[in-house]
Order: sequence, then C-alpha cells, then structure tokens
Amino acid sequence: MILSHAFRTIIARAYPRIIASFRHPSWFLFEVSLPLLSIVTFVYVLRLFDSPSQFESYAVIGGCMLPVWFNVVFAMALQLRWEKDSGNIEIFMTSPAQITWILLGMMVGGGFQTILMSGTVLFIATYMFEIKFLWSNWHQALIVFIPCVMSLYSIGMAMSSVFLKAGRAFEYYLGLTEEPVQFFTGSYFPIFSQNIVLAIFGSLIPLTLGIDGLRQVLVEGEYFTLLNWRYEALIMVIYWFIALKFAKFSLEWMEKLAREKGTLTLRWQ
Amino acid sequence: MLAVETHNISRTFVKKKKVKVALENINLKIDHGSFYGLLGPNGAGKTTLIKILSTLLLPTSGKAEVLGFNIADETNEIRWRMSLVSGGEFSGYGLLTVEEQLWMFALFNGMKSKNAKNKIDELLEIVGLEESRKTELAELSTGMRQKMNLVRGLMTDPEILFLDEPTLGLDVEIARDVRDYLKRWIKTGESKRTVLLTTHYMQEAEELCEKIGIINDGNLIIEGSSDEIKKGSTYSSKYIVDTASQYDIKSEYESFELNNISNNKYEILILNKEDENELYNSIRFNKKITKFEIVTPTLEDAFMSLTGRELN
Repeated sequence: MILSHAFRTIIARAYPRIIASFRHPSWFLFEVSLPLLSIVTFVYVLRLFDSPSQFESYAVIGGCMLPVWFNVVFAMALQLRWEKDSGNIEIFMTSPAQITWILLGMMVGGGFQTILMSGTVLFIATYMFEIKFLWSNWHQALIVFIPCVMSLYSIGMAMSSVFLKAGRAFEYYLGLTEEPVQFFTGSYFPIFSQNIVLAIFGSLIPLTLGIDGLRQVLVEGEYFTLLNWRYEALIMVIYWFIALKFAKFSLEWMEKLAREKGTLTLRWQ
Repeated sequence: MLAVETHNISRTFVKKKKVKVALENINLKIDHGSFYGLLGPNGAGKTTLIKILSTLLLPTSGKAEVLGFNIADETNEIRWRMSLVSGGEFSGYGLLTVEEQLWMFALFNGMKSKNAKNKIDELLEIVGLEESRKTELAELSTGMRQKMNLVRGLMTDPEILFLDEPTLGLDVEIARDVRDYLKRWIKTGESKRTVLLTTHYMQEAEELCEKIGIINDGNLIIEGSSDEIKKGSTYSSKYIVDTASQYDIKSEYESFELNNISNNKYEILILNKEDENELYNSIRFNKKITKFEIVTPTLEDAFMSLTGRELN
C-alpha cells in the first residue's frame, strides 16, 4: 500500500518535468546552446595551443556534466521554494504523500531532463569536433555516471529544505558559485594533474569525482589521477547515502518547523 | 459523532519580535454531515483555524480532533480523509493541462491512475469544465481555475472538506455555480460529508451553512443558526422611510433611534418588539412619509452589533 502510493507519487511529480521537455522545447535550445558554447570556446583555445587531443575530450565531458550540477542546484534545491510561493506546498502537506516521495519525483523528472540535455550536448560536441570516446566502456561509464547524478540530486534534496528556510538571498549566492564550481571541479581541464590540494578540496563536490571517473573510462591515452574510477564511484555512492540521510532529516525538520511556526503556509514567513 | 472538536485552541505568531494572537481559546463542535460556516472579517483568524484543523499548523495551546483523530500526532489519518481548497489559490504547474493537474494531485492522494481519470471525467462535467480539460493552467481564467481547485478537493470524495474563502474573487455567476454544487455535494453524501467553510460573504454563509460561527480578533463570539445569530442584533427590525422635504422627522420620532441615510431618507430602529405596532400605525398614516419598508436584521447587522465593526 505504502510502496504503491510512494511509486504513484513519484511518477505523478516526475510527470510535469518530463512532459515539459517535450511540450515547451524552447528551454532545451537554451540549456543545450549555452554549455555547448562553453565547450566550443575551450576546444578552440586548446587547439590554439596545440594541446593533446584527449584534452578536447576532457573539456567535452566536463562541459556535459557541468549543466547537471546547475540543474540540480537551481531546479532541485530552489524548486521547493517556488512550490511554497505558488501554494503547492500546502497541497503537498495536506496530502497523505510524504514530502520525500514528492522530492524523489522531482529528482526522477529532473534527472530525465538533465540526461536528455547532457546527452544532446555530448552528441553535438562529439560530432562537431570528431572526438573519439571509448564507447565500448559504456557500462563502466554508467557505474560512474549514475552515482554521480544520484548523489548530486540527493544533495539538491538536502539543500532544498535549507534554501526554503534561508530565503531568496540564497539564489543570489548560488549564482556566485558558478565560476568557483567550474574551477574546483576541473570541468574543462584535468584538475588532478594540476594541483592535488585543489583536487582533494574539489572532491567534496561529487561532480569532481564524476567528471574524473568518466574521463578515466571514456578517454583514450594516459591520464593522471589520484583515484581509480571504481573508488570514485564508491565514494559517490557514500555521498549519495549521506546526502539522502541528511535530506530526510532536513525535510522532517522543515515539516516540523512548518507546523510549529507556520514557515511554509504563511506567505509572509 | 463529531467531525471537528476543539478544546481551547490558541495560536500566536511571532513576527519581528512582536507576538500576534491569531486565535484565543476556540471551542468548536461540528457535527458529522453538517455544513458549518466560519464568518469573520479579514485577519479575524479564520484561515489560521482552518490551517490548524487541516494539519498545516499546530496550535500554540489547546487540542483538536478531526474525525476523531488528534491533529497533532495523527496527521496522516486525517490527511487520508480530508481536502483543503483555498480561494485565490494559484497552485499547480502552468504547463500542465487541467486533467493532468488533477491526475497528479489525485495520485498524491493515493488514488489509482484509472480511478483518478474516471473521477476527473465525472467531476469536470459536473462543474462545466469538460471543454477546458486540455487547456493548460496558465491559460485558465481565475474562475475556471477555482472550479478546477474545487474539483481537486472533491476528487477523493473526502469525509471532511475545508473551504477557505472558496468564492474569493469569483464573478457572481461562477460563485453561484460553486455554491450550488457544494449544496448538492453535501446533500448526496448521506450525512457522511462535512464541510467547514470560511468566508467573509454573509450571504454565502447564510445560504450554505446550517450553523455559523462568528469569529473576530481570534475569538469565537457566537455560534448558531443564521436566525439565532440575527437575534443577537441590537434591534428587532427597522423602517427605511422616505420623507417629504422640510419635514422634521427627528422631533416626531424622538423616542426612537433614528439615522439619516441620505437626503430625506432615514432608518428608524425598533429596539423593543412592543413598539412595533405603535410605530407601524404611526408611519402608515403619516402623510409626510412618502414611502416606507420594513427590514429585518441581517447577519451583517448582527455582526456589527456584536463586534462594533463592519464585516467587509
């Protein structure tokens, strides 16, 4: 009974995100063209300096993964705030569905959108620059990619309740993180071969490990890294569980606060 | 069995270090199968009370039961059996169509997809929204959106329906449709359906509710049927009279409470029922009074007498 209700809730909440991908495809153009533009810039810079060809592959992988992060942060974490402002939270809370299930639905729907978007960027960039990936390692790539996306979404779930409490100012601060995240995750360059301290610091974001792991399994040639992709996948699974645990705790805390202080149901709060 | 029972419910809010008392010692008993109206001006505490009863808020003190379940720790039991619809609600996702929106919320409420679709067909036809079923929410007018919200609230056939100003901002015709449907809905429920309505439209409360509670500044001042509440008015009836010009009505009727409404138009309040006949004969045969009508007290009058302020 509970399982089927949870499943139906997840499907129902994922539906608007999935249908949005097809009903209003204008967002797609925007979400694909911007990351693609960054990849094009980096690839041309690399070519200008006669960099090894695998660096172009690194840039493409990073460029495809970076929108995943921003989609998680903006679409997932800030979504709950939007739901509050539009009055949806009240409906969620008066239904017998758990808020965690609703967020899982957002995660599934958002994940679908993100994969569609990143996949398109990857396809276009690969075709444009004639990049050769080791597609025979696709199963290894999935072992890295899935925990990376799941851990990022779980972080998004955990952040959503914090952002809900913190208010709109966080939106501004989030915008400011764009450049540092690009830098610390080594999106367009192999960070582990540049500065170990920075790389370890960057590894606090699962995206860094995800990008690094994908480079290991998909790009041909020698690659300097601190950790084998298998360990990176394992660490991301750990991140995923920790973030889920924190998300559950913070959502329960938020619900408690909402009922005690009216923080979700009163518009002036 | 009681659908709602509260014991000394109080609720305070703290905003910028200032404490605001929203509700104070509310004791309420609502029978199963009844239509109960909470009437009061904006800011009286109606919405706070409905939010407490619909498990969205906890009271600062006191306790309450909805359908026999405690609102503090048996929330899910209540949520399976209730619905909340608020006026001026802009919930949902603009890119979804009406039927998709309703389907989504129905699944949140534990309905199976097929059952939800059948119920959507049935209800959209009843409220006259079947032609808009494929319309995206962003394209809907306020009235249509509110009808859709009402359908959302009725999808699970709840045992108790909380309606918070459901006709707020609706034009007269749509508000009437909504009221008509609610009347039919509760009638066909075989006493298994209860509605708690908050409104600041007296006419709405009078038309729909068997029992009305008047709430002001967080206090439940009076409750009873519409007729019982009207008895709380300071006067038993009043005359609205038009007089000939330059007629000094004040000196002739100085023993009565008399108010000037407009030029040559007055109201004469009958505070004691015994004065009714005397005044009637006097007005009827007074040639300087060109026109008169007898008006009985309205809920608004009762409200003014009880609170000293206007309702709207």
